Amino acid sequence: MYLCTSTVESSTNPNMSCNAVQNLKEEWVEGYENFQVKIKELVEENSQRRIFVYFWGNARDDGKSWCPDCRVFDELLAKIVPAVKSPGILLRVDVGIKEDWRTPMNPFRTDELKITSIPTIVEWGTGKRLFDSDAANQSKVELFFNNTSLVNL
Amino acid sequence: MAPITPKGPNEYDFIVVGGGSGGLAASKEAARLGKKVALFDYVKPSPKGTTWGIGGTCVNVGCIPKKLMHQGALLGQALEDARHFGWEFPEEKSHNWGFMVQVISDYIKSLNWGYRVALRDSGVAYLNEFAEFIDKNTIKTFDKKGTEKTYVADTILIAVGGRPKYPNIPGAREFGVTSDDIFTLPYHPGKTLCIGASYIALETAGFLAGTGIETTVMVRSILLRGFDNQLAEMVGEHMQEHGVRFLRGWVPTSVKLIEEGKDGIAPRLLVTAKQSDGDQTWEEEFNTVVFAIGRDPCTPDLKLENAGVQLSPTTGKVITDDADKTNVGNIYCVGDTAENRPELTPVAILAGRLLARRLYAGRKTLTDYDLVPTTVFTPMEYGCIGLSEEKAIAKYGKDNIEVYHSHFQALEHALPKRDQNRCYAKLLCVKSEKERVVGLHYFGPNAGEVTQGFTMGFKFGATKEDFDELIGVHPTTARNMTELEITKSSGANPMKKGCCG
Repeated sequence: MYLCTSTVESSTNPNMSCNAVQNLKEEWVEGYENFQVKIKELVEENSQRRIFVYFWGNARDDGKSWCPDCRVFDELLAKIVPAVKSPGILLRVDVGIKEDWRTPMNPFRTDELKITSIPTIVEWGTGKRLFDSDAANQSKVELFFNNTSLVNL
Repeated sequence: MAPITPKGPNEYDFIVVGGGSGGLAASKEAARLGKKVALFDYVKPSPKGTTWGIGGTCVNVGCIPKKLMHQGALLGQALEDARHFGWEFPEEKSHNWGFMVQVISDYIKSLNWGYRVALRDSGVAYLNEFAEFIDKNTIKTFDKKGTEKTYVADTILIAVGGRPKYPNIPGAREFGVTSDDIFTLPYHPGKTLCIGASYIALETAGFLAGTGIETTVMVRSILLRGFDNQLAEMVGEHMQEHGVRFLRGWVPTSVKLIEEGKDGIAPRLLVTAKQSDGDQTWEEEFNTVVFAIGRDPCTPDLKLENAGVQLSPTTGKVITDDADKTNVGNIYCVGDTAENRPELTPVAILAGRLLARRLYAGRKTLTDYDLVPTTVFTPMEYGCIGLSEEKAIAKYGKDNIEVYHSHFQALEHALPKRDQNRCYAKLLCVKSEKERVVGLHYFGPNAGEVTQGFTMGFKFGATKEDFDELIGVHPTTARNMTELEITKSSGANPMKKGCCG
């Protein structure tokens, strides 16, 4: 279910990689096959660090998402990500152009991950996921990044 | 009208201690009704070191993983049945315990996360801190780093649930595990001994055996105390027929370590036992010993004496009235911690929600703790509503109770030729009240689903005639509830012959 209700014009450049002391390093990948390869690499290399995977749609011309909800989410990310204390990776996964995303056979939809709408962000290996209206809620996005453990201790 | 002083940062209208079924329901409802609410949840690790996230026993180490593992075991049985319906697959089946543990654990973590997000939505302040009472309006808390804080509230709800008991024998805590640990056991359990006759012991033994694990149950006396004796024995017999070994009339005396487990392999343990009524002793080696001998309320650590809250001297649970209030006017208790309540999630949820409505929405509805339906998810499931036959006879007198009953076979079992006449249904009816049904007992597949529907009849005081006038859905096993003719008093054989009889 893909929401297309937002009419926000984002002027924030989602390509913005922030100042060098940002603890979450951003990486980019495009398409399902590349994602499969990349996530395996990242998991092997980052056993002690948090991996966030953000599924979005990149417009490929002006560097901004074709999806208005992703643009809203990108604004929140720009505020929240620089302040995240734990070291880790934020992997942006481009799910494709709008027409490709809209098909039911898009591999991101059919894969085990079952990404049914964008923006969706997951913390790999934790079961934490935000999407739809939750992803537009600053308080929940902050909780998502700042909550380091679902378990006491 | 006096102006309301706004509350300071650590001051709340309503504090809930315990983030399980009861606590979550009450806190969310109170927040929905506009109150300033704080929820405290903190899980002290089990002796084995197991801990978990928000949601309480049900979500983390109870109903949810139990039902999933039970389903895992049933699917193993389904694979066996499948060949009788024409499915052809060459390999013998095998079960990967580690895989099942991982996927269930992942699912539970997504539930923990879901609750965190839902609490954000609801406006409840969630604090991962362990709370104890200073006085009737004040609690002191500790977080995992040991930092202390104080909070004040007008009203406080205790909903801290319980934890498994250990017997007072050498080696129990060091080498045994409980339901707190079994769902995330980091090694294949190997040859397992379940000690206890509770539904926890039987359900655990059931799903372990169903995934191919060599399982034994050690029982001191009767099975499923508090449930209908006849059905309890049927549950046990069925489990025995399906490969679970029962040691009836024994109690454990010690658990010793033979060899430590390592690298994902289970330890080797020696269990010694003696007869409950006799002198014989016994010992045998196992890899895993699961104690399921009962649960203790989490009241000792709360320092309830500082608030003057009265506990039961026998159970340690909090004594409450019909409105879930303790002897202290502003302190309430729901869920497993409260005395004389069915220890069931839906009961705690409803109690929590109705309490919040009574406190903050001017409602008067009390939780009805009678006629609570429940189901035991053993390999053949047992669902019941109302009284056991023993309790019905005690309450109404033997001459005033008519028992209608029947054995039957589920159609699905006909082709695999299993459990013929194993399934069973009975209705307990009060003769002097037009045969009003006061107990319903169903032993068969999908017992939870079957039982839930019939609770509606109980709500309206259904009689045997009402049940008989229902038109059944066919083919189902639930339909048997509408066709019971044979009474125990007639002495006739309750075994079924044909299909539509």
